[in-house]
Amino acid sequence: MTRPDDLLEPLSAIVRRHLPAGSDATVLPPDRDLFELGLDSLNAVRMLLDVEEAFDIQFPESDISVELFSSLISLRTALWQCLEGSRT
Amino acid sequence: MSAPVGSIFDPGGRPEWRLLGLAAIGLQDDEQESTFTELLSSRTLNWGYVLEQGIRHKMICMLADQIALLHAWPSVPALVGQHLREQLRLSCHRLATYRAAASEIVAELSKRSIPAACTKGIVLESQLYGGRGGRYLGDIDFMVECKDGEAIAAAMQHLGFVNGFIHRSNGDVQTHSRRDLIAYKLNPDHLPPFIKTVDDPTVPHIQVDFACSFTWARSKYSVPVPGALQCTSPIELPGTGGRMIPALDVDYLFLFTVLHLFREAWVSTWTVLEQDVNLVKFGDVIRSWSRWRDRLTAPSFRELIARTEVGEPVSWVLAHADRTFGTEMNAALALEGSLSEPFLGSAGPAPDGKPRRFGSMLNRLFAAESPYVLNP
Repeated sequence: MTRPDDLLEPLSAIVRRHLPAGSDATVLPPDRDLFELGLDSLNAVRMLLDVEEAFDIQFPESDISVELFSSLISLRTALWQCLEGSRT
Repeated sequence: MSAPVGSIFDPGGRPEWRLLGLAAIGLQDDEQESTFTELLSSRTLNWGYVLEQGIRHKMICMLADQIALLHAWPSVPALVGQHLREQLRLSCHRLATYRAAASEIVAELSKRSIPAACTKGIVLESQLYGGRGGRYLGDIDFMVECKDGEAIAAAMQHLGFVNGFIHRSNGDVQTHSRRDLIAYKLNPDHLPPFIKTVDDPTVPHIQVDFACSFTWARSKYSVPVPGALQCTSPIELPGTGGRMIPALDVDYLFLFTVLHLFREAWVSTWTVLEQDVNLVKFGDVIRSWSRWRDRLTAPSFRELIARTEVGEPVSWVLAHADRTFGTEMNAALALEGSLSEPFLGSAGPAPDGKPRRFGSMLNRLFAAESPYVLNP
């Protein structure tokens, strides 16, 4: 992954797994609020842990907030920062 | 004139349920006192069933308190009576411990200028249940603003509390897993609960819960907390030499009590955790109504419901209370008939997304194996 946008596709695949069946988000709009797309509180936690496992990182507790789920883009930004931090 | 509250409900004809139901809502007149006393002496009363369901509904202390008030111990089998009295004494002791802790926490939050109000049992036990230990308290509940979470954590740490909880199965103190802490961050309707171990073999822990919402995160039903926290009044904690705690004013306190019941009855998380709505929760609502009826039927309360747009969940709870216990709260608030029957018989979806339905609240409360009646 050399650019933040490279994260969008694998992230999108993880997010879609946790959206409810019948969700209209077969193509995930990167700026749509994930909770508005039907993500519920239990699946949000599972999704975050799946992202951490897939990318072998752990989000700092201070970065975890409702705002993190405001869109795929915000999730990508937080993930990119976390990956950058782990490289230095 | 309408019939006394509780005069029409007949939970399946079982004397055990009628006994527990009457104890929950409080005896309203001489006739109900006679009924309660007769039920205690009934040959068909199965005390094992009373105790089992009393535990499930957290009604053991309330039952003991009601029997004590009526001086009806001779009607109770001796060993059962001994157990009930011991539970009531333990509850009184726990209450004394919790009142002292509540007072200490209130003082610390006040010193740090953190707005907070006490809610639920720590307020209602004295306001509605006479402060005699009948209202079981599992923890001390506060309403706060979510933005004050870090300041509250610092205050609680200063008082010797840590984030943690009692494991429901083994009773051990547990710290929150990372998964739990993430869940609290993503669902900011509560702070992670606090606990303090104290040197008391009978009440070894004090648990404290801080709610930041009248309902739950991202619920379509929401009451602004900052406005509610500006409407508080001091109430005296019995047996503490005049110590006071801030409680939500009656309008907001009743709204919170009703919406809390709705949350427990509606959200699948609670029923899955065997924390389905119980008789005590309905007792809180009905006793509040009986105590503060004049205030709650004033236009200002109806205006609050309309302004905060919580008519649906309020009517859902009151309709079930009316049908189960013979109250007429929905009509008194002009909410009668505002909900469809399918909505009244429904609860929020199960974790797998399947809709959940139950028959009547009467069946749900008085089913021997609730909350499993809700499982698809």
